[in-house]
Amino acid sequence: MHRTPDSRPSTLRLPAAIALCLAAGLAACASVPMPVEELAMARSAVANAVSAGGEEFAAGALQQARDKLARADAAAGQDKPDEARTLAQQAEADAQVAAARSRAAKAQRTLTALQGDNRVLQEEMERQSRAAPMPVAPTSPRN
Amino acid sequence: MIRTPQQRQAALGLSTRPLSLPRSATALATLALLAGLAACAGMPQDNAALNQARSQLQAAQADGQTSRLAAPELQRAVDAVAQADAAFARRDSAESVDHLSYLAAQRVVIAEETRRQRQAEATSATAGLERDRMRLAARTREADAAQRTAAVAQQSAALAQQSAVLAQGRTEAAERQGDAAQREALAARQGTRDAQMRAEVLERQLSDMKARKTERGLVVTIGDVLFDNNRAEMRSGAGRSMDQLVAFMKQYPMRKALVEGFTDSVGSDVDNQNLSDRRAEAVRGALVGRGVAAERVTTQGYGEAYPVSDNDSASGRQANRRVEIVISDDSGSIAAR
Repeated sequence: MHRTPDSRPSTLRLPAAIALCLAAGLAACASVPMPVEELAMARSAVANAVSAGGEEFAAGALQQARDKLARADAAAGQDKPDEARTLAQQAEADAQVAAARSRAAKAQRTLTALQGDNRVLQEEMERQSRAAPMPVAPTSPRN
Repeated sequence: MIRTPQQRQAALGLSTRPLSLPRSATALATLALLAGLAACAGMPQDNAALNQARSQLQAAQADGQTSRLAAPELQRAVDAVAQADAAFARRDSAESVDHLSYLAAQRVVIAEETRRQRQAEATSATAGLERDRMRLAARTREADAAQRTAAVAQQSAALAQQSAVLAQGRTEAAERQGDAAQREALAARQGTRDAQMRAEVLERQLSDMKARKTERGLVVTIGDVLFDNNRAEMRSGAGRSMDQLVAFMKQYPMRKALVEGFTDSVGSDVDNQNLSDRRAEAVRGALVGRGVAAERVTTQGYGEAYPVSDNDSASGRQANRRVEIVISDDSGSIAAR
């Protein structure tokens, strides 16, 4: 923070006071460090979502995360740290949604496959028990 | 970071203490300050994004499964909504509240996706157990079925073998019985045929010889006419009767013959005895001469004894002058008179 606080009330002249006030106001809004950490976390979250199967299972959320990450990078390049931070945080959240959605979809797919297997197995067993009831002992020949 | 107006004022070094500025300058400065503040922080009465995040969170919390299966994720959503609430309460900028509300809403989504994942995993675990159970049951059943099939096959094989043995035994026995029966039948038929033939032949021969059946055996009588008066020599006409008798004796080698001679009552007993002896002997000589073994033929003269008719008439006396040939049965014995 580089401010020039001027607490000497007696020596202030009007133009200087106005300029100071405007400068201070602007500095309060814009003088923020670049969100390096947030951008890195967003990038990591996107990679994580991809490895969780986001391309297949959560394409929409993943694409949104990538878009926001790209816009965050662009904002950082244009010296807009607040916008970059906001977009990076949202990109991270979107990527985490994509990852969670992918994991849920994969678990669901596994379950569906398992249930399908079980159904086939069940049907197979029922079919077998119908086709092959208890075998009957052959009648002995008459002596 | 976003700051409250109070913080911002402190950072700017502004105090609540009045400045010794000209009135107009003070008014200008106040306006400028207010304008700057307004640029940084709009203060809406309500935030749609925050309301949305709150209701999403409430829905997630109402679902007991999410708080049970995704407790940490739900807690992060609760925290995020609280942050957005705090920002709204501090009257942070709408953009800031929107942003925090967006992050909070995404946290709720993450919690719900996590709940979906955990639910599917839990159900999968159950389904996996069910599959294991069914596979075990199927294997057990297959093993049982295989065992039963093997047992049945074994039983069938044993029974088949038993049947085969029995069938073979029956077949052999039947064959033996059949053979024996056939042989017996053949023999019986043969025997019947032979007996019939023998009986027919005998009957024919006996009828030819004018034999008669008696208790002592077959008796063939050679009448007086075959002998000259008072002589023992047979006439030539007796040859045919002799031939038939010889043929009969040859056909039945077990049988023996007793030749008995008889006379009428004319003349002395001694003469009659001699004559009967000689005549019987003459017949025996004829049989032996024609090939009958000598030991099979014996003779006996009875003189005038055993007449078959009266001696008062010529025809009666003629009937009494005779030779009888008694033929034994197959035992060879002839009962004496």
